[in-house]
Amino acid sequence: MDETKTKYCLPRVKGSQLSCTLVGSLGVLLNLHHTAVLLHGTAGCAHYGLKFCQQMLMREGEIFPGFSPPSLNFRTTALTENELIFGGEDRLSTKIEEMLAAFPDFPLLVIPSCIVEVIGDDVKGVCERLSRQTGRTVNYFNMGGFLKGDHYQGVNSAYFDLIDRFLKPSVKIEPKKVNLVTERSLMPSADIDFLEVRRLLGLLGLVVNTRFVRNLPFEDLQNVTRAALNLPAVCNQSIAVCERLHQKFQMPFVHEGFPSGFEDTRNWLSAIAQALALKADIDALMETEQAFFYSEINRLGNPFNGLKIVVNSIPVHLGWLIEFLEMIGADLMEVNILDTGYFQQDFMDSPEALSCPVNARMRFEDMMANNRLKNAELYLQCSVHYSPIPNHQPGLLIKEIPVVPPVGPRGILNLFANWSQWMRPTGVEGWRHERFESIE
Amino acid sequence: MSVSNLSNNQILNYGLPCSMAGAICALTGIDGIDVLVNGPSACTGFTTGLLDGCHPLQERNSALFSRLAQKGHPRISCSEITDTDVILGIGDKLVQAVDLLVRKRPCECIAIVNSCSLSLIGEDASNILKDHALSDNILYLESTGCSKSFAKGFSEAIIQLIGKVAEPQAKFRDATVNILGLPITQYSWKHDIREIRRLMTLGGIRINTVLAAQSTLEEIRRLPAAGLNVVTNPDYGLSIAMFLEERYRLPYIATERMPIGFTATRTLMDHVLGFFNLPASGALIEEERRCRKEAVLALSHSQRTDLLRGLPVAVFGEYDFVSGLSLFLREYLGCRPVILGIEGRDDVNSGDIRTLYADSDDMELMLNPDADRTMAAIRKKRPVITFGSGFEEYLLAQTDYSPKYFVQTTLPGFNRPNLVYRPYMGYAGALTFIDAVLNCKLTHRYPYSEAGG
Repeated sequence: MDETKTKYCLPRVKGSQLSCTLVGSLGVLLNLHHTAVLLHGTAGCAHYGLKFCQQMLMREGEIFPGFSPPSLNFRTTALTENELIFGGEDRLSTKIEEMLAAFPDFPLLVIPSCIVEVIGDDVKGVCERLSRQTGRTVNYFNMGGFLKGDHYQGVNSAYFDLIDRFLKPSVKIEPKKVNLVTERSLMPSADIDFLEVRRLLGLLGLVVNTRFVRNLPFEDLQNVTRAALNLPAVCNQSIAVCERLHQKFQMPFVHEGFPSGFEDTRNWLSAIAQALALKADIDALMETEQAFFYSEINRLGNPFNGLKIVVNSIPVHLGWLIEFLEMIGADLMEVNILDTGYFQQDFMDSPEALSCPVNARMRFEDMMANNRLKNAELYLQCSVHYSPIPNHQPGLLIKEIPVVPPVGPRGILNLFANWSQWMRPTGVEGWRHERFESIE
Repeated sequence: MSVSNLSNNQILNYGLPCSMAGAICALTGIDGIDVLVNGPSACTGFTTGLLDGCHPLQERNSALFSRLAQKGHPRISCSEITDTDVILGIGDKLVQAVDLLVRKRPCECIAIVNSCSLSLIGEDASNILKDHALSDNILYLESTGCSKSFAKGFSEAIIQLIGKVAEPQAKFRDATVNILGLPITQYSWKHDIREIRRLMTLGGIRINTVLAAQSTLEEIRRLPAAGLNVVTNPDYGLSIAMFLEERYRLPYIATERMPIGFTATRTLMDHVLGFFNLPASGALIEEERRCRKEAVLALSHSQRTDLLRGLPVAVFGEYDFVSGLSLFLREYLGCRPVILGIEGRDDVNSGDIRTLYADSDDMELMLNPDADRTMAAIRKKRPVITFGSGFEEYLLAQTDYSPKYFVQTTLPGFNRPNLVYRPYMGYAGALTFIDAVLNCKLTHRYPYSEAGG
């Protein structure tokens, strides 16, 4: 298997945390239904944690009807200066007792924030004492906010705790069932991606056992170990979780995240078939998929055929995009990779792996100059934050590459349909011609 | 009237977040100040996410992008403290960040704001900066508090800033006021500034600054030169006005709540004009008459006269706003506030509202409400129009009653722009809300029925 890559177009900045471990773990635990979550920390952290999780799901003004508000079982001890000076353990005990009474049927999950680590509250001790006294399990998750690392470490810590404490070996393994592990729950596309993954698995005669953890009832954690195979959603983070499941329960897993594009899908399906010793004609499956893709492109009309395109990117996985542009007949002039010295390089494809001219490690100014020379008809870029050209310039078509690459052949087709719509002839977009000192 | 008091924020409060965010909001609202958060990048990122939506700046698309500005707001940077720094000392990182900021983005003043966990460690950052000759033009906020409200963080940061930069000076010759207490997190802040300026100008009064809402350091230096401070949002501005009165003998006029509606606006203008012994100008009187006439013409249309009386409405937001809007809806339009959700106050004093609604037996007053209570109240009271933030909209979407309408009035707004001139305050503000309520209600004039009835 090739070295795994995280299929994100969101940059990881060296030394930067994106968000804290607390919010990372909340993103996981709030997806575990039929539980009550208590955050031991300040009200501000609780607000941010919840807002971050909800805002990710409410971007673009969309409210996803399938998503039940996780906040309904979420509380905070809301520490004040008084507790920070004299200790917050009494407050924690009181709050735990209140929550045990308020949620008699739900397990209680307690997460400390970084300020609790600083003042040295013995959260674990309080949870254990109350567990003994009440006969109910009070589960302590060791997160510790920024003191323990970054968002992704928070995600993994939550998963490790769930695996170590709540999962039990299964007596019976279901040979046709697989788990989806660490889906990108905070991305609005998570459930759309899930539909495509489920469809692809169906092609191999497989069904999804559990989504670990995405809108999963707490009691269903027991079913996780029944699956024959674990499928990580995102490589770098998910692999560690899959490895933990493998160590504890000998559950096999594939070393690839959810696939983006055709080549990826072929490899992913082959890996699954190999892991489960399935007899499946992957080539025939992919041919059918490709035939459908091209028939749909022809039906929709292809505005990208021969279009001169420049990709400006930061060091992220781009293989799927290059393949997609080749399939739709675009004239990919070059790929410019910005390197300011502070992006993590480990998610990037090697330039040799990309079948197009690549200018690696460019300075911002060089990229701007290079863009001016090219006269491309369309510029693709990762985010407006990293754009070498202001996106309001007249006559320029600039499209943002999705932060999370679309999953599977249908995801790519969906992207094509969206971009085609966007490429349709339109007016001159007069706003791009406006000139103000504040914008220039 | 029933009151559910979930004070102390023990249950999650949907209001604006912590006092550090309030301090950053205040300082970001002043041009010429760059904010450096001395703390973890996560806390910074969350706050910039909130503020970027309120006051977007053009630099996002430019080559000015730098490591320091990587959190989404070019004027808010972060020293990116991690666990290692907490153990070994934050000095190096802080000095490095200030040094980088000074070189990358020359500005008039750098405000360093400690996050709550950093303020607990107790490292003397001001001395560290002095040792490295980096203390010029630096405002250092050692602690903004862990459990105080957003508004408290806002006003305390401003008071510290005023203490550092304001200079006693000769008074302006003309009638000049400072407007205090309008944060850039108020959903309509840009429009409110415009409306207040418009009305004050019509009354012959000059505004020196609308504090911390696109104001400048020079305006803040000149604060004591104004003749009067006018507090439009007491939660944010009253303590600042009291500080200025004590320090510079600068008198103030404070409204009890946000001046929403004709009466509240008229009262405010009368007080300000009275202070300067100015008569109400013809233009100001004419403007009030014009707006009132427009309102009456809209409301008295033959098919609308009976629409709003008794209409159940819910208002969520901070005290000044909820109190001001609900009073206008009730006293002027005849609506029936059935839920008032007051958020973001750690020392909730709802005495005023309790008195106002003492005769209302079906109004639920919620102090620092959480999702559970909000949801339960909405299901029970079934407000036809709900004024609030994206959170309330989200909860409203989970309910299945009809008719229900939502009007975005507070943050978070989840990327909704607010471009059209729709102030909350002033005479035009009254028309904003009349327009919103009538349009919601008229849309549902003839309820759709699946039974065909």
